[in-house]
Amino acid sequence: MYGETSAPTCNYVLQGDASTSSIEMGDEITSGTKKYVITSIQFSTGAATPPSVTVTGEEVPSGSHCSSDCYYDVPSATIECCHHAQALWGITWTGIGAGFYVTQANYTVECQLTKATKDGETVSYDVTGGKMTAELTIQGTGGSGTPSITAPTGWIITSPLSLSNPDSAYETYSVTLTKNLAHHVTQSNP
Amino acid sequence: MAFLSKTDYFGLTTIDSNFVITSSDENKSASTAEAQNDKGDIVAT
Repeated sequence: MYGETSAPTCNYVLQGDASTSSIEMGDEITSGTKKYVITSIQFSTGAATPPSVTVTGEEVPSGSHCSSDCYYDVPSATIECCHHAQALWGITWTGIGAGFYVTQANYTVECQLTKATKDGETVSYDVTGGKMTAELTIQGTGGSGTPSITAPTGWIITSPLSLSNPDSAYETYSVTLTKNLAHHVTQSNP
Repeated sequence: MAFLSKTDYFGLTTIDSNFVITSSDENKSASTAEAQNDKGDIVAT
């Protein structure tokens, strides 16, 4: 037996507006006697639904972070506690078109944990591949035309607008946008 | 009815007190070294 670890998941709701500005993905977080690293945070916002947050991560040995400067800052945003689909991190839908409404906006910030191991046990780790994803669900109201979503600076549309129920009176579209994150690193040989 | 205790593994409730934890799961795992014979049966663990 080797490589015993835990990969916990925590679910949160909001009791007020909450800021993401102090969340770092890659730094060790202490819980009891163990250390954990966040690898994914999903913010779910939707019409008539309370915002929720799901965080996943993995246990790492204490002091095994290859450099305390190697992590991803979760970009700053304020998640409001109102039960609406929320426009965050530059994503907007003000020009979506008449008769179309964003009813669900889910955002994921994630990275991969990379490990150096000896005898199956982690001796050093880093994080890589940081990115953000925005998944929007758009409700139509039976009018003509299609909704319009424009990727803001730094974002690209990675899954174009698709119609999920074309045989329905009120159509539903979905679209996915992605933004790559840059490492927070100050060392001399990044 | 009692509610199960939750562990805030990632400290979000301390980063911003408006994050309220509702559930947690540790999801523990480990790997096992195995050897197989010519038929694919596991003969050593």
